[in-house]
Amino acid sequence: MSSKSTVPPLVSTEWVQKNLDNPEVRIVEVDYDPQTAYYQGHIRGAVLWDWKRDINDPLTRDIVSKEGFAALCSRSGISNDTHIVLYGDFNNWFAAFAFWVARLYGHEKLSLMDGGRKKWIAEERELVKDTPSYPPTNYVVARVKYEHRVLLPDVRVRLGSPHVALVDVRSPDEYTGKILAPPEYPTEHAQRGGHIPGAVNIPWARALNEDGTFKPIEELRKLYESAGVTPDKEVITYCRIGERSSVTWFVLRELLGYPRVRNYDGSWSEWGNAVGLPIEK
Amino acid sequence: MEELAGCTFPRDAYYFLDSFLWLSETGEGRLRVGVLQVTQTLWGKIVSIRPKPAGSTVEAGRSICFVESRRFVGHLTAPFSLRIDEVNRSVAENPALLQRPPSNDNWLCSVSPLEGGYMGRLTDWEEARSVLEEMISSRGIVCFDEPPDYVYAALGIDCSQLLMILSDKIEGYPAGSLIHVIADYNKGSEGDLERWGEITGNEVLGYRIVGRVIHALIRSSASRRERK
Repeated sequence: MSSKSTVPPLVSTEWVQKNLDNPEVRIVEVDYDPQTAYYQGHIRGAVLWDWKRDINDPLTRDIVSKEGFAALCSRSGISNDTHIVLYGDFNNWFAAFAFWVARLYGHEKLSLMDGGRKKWIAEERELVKDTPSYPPTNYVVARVKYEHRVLLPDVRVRLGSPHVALVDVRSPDEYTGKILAPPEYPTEHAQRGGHIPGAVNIPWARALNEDGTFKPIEELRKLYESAGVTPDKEVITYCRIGERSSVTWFVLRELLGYPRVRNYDGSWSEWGNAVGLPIEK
Repeated sequence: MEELAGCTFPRDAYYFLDSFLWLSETGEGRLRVGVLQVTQTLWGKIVSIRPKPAGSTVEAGRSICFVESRRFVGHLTAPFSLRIDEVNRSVAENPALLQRPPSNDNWLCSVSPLEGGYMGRLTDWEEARSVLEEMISSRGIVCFDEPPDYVYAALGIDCSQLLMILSDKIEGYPAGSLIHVIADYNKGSEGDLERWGEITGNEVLGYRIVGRVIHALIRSSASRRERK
């Protein structure tokens, strides 16, 4: 069983507003595009994690290393017992990715702000432009929780297993192979279209309301269970680069409490480009 | 009307560049407020808006409208304290109209200032021009008559090869989308592009050449070939 988290995985904008001056909380904005987001104004006291620069390895295609993550937390003034509250642009996609990475590196007190940057702004809450700085800490990653992540060889050996549910969270057109890349990212196409054999298609956005907040728990449970994604199975989520699937990973693992959920961050940009792997259309 | 990089600016309007707004007087002390086309590049296409309803009073610096675009979420803020008299219904239904050239149709709302000396918060065209010119060159802004749905940057690809790739790429977009293609400009690129449009059935709506780069606006063909 997973260890019990001491804070709720999801907090509201209202909660964040009330905890702006709470010294045990560090608010972090995670952006794909800080130019049109963080630098235009952010929650008072929030530090920036630039998804490309801070959450990914600068050289290898991989998430930030254990040492890199510890250094990132240290320079963000985050200690091992700080309550990190994440929010960001693009419907919290990259904030959810950072949440997943932080869990992987064993951070306990971790929350996502429901509705992300969009909701905070829509509610006309305060935004500031000055960048805060905090005294560095000595953050230590004690143990990597590999159970949250799955790599390609481990997906391959699970193909066809009745105990495994693969969830493809991309759009139906990407799932069926009608298109090789989402229209917003035309250059990031894969060599082949389709999906991993046996995967069911539950687009990530179906877990959200119009305003970007998550749907009620019972509705979420029904959404996944009706597609055969049940808590007795080992669940693997994937999308194109692993960011949208972190949102679904978050719903299943953190909100619904499924015991075994793993994000396959290699996702379609790995599977659809690799040689010799089976594909279903 | 004045034009910079394909963006249209009414000469007799006032500008509030903090929120990329144009304002034009309609008599009786009222002003019509609209959004500048430069937001096409800065924000991407506007996908939804939530304007404050008619009758609202808004303090200077507070929101008159919540805007969500492809790459941006934020507010259009009031340059001065004002009352909103009317919200343009056609824009409320189709918010991308806001990013078309300023006109008698493409405005957001009509407002009455609630304080004197409000002109001091606005700039006229002459003053706005130098700021806009700098912004346009530093941010690589290009405007079209309609905001593009998608941007496809294809710099560094040889022209003949580009047109082949493009035919294939365009298939990946929903039929009838507006795509802003950015490519290297060579002498004759325009002609090649137009011929390509005729052959493939994709409509080339316009293009701008900026230095050694060509920006083209293409409407993807409504009838799609079946992908094998």
